Amino acid sequence: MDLVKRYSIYHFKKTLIRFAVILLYCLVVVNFGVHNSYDSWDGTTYHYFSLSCYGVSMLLMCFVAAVMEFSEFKNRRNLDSWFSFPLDRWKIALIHFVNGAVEIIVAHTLSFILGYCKILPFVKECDLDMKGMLPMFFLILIMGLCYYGLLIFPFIIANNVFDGIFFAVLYSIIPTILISIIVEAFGIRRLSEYSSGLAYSLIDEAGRCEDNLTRKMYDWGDNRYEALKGGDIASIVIWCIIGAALFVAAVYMFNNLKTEKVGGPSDSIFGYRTLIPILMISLVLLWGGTFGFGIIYGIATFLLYVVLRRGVKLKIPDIIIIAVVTILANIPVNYVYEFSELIGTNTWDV
Amino acid sequence: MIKIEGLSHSFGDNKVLEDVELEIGDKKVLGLVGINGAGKSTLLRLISGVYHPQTGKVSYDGNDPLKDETRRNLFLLPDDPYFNGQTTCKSLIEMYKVFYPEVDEEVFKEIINDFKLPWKKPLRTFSKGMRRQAFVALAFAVAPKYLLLDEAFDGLDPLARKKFKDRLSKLVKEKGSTVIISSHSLKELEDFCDEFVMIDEHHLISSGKVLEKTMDLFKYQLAFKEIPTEETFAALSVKSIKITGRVATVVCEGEAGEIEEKLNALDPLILDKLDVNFEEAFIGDIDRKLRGGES
Repeated sequence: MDLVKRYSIYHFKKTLIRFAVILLYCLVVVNFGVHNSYDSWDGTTYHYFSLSCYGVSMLLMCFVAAVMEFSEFKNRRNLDSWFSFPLDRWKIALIHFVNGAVEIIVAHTLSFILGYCKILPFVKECDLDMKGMLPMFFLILIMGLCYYGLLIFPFIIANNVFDGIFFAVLYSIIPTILISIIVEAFGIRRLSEYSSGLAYSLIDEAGRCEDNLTRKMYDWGDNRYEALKGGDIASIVIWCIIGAALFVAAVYMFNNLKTEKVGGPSDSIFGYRTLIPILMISLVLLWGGTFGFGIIYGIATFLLYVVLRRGVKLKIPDIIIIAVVTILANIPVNYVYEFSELIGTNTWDV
Repeated sequence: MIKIEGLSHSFGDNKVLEDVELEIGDKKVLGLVGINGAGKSTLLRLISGVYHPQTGKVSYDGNDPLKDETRRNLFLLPDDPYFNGQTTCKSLIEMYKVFYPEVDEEVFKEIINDFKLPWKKPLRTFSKGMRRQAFVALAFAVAPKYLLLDEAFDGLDPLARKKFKDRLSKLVKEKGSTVIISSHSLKELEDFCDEFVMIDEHHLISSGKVLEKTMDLFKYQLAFKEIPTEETFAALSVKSIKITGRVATVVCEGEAGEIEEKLNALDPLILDKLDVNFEEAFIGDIDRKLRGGES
């Protein structure tokens, strides 16, 4: 048996307990989330169905899988052994990725079956439309795997577990903030319907499937697949491509990892150095400035840099960013609104 | 053969190794010495492919250690090897069996039993010395063509050291392995290495065969009526000298009869011949190099 196969089996066995915990978590979420009912005072039983629980459990499962699969490479001592083993780094990364993906696929499949079984007895009674369930299964799974691939990149570029988790959170929320700015600044309201970032879309798509399930039961669902436009599909495809591309970049980074830097502060250009300015300036632009109150943004930026530098000894570019954020945040201007007014794309007053 | 050519490595502004050149022949045991922080572990990590060289290259019979096929013949035992909270001797050998299918489990068990190490107890409950014994046992069980040991014998008790040294000799003789072993103390290595290199000020500054060196060296202790100075011994090829009051201890290079004749000419009150150990020869050699003399 070749080494890749041997190590894959060994690693799978080694992570079985962790997998059992992830699986249990998913089953519990779906078991208590997918269907709820209560009897009203007049004896009527009301049923509630929620498929968003699949999006939520997938989101957390991807996060846990990415962190757990790659956290052992954030310890320099471990890497002495790992990187001297006769297995190429990219193969190790791939094995760990596949192991996490298998866990996600199995947990999602089993929780889907559980959810399906829980919904099935109410199909007739509640007039449920089950034909959207299977596409939902694949949609959430594919988006989930891409989100998992996307999360590995920030985790790999970080030099320690804390930074890895922090970067992964920022990589999940920053796209949503940036898309919101573009939507508001250029008046492209439809864009937010198409995409608000992969993490957000995961829950959003699960919500759409939920509306489909109950389309005959309720008539107010406005997020059904009848409303699915080419843009939605394009958005999902684009995010899947981004997720896959970031995963490929992560494997490349892992293959060329500077072992000696692991365990120390993260200095990647794709890490704090870029993420802090983008996050803080975006938030100021999105929410606008308030004289006096803006100091909070400055303090928050300062604290983020303290975390980055592991101390209060900041560098000149850090101080410049803190100053820019503080100044922008103290000017009482709604930047996005003013910009849209300036270029004539303001749709706020329409 | 392990060949290191023009190897340099820095951690940011901190230069660790500079233009290191070294060739280690097959079936040799090379001692790598240097003070703490000299760069021994960095050199071993570069040799094993854990670090990517910034400049220069390392090759094993012409093969790159960054390729997994090359690392099949290589085993690095770091000074603080990886294990998790649940790792036991049993799980350790199971893990290494995945990466090194030819590992001899019987050898591992034999050493573990020999040192009476618990088979199923977590390594975290072991003392530092016991953990080291378990990992050195692993290295012998893997028995690779190239064995890289980072301070592997440091801190072991004399009996364990003796047993491991015997196994190391057997490994070289029977399996034809090449071994690089690092230590901050030359004394730890002097009785079983064929050759030594020392890392100092980012460079490998001395190498050579132990026996050749010690055979040409002679150590004397002399007492004089007046306090001697280094100039007193100017006529001799002195490798190292220590003067304490009227007593001088000198290590000289050359032919014994000629050295003793020159020393007697200095009219000492007492002249005693002592045994030379390699550490003295080695340190003397480095002293001379640093002073700009020949080795």
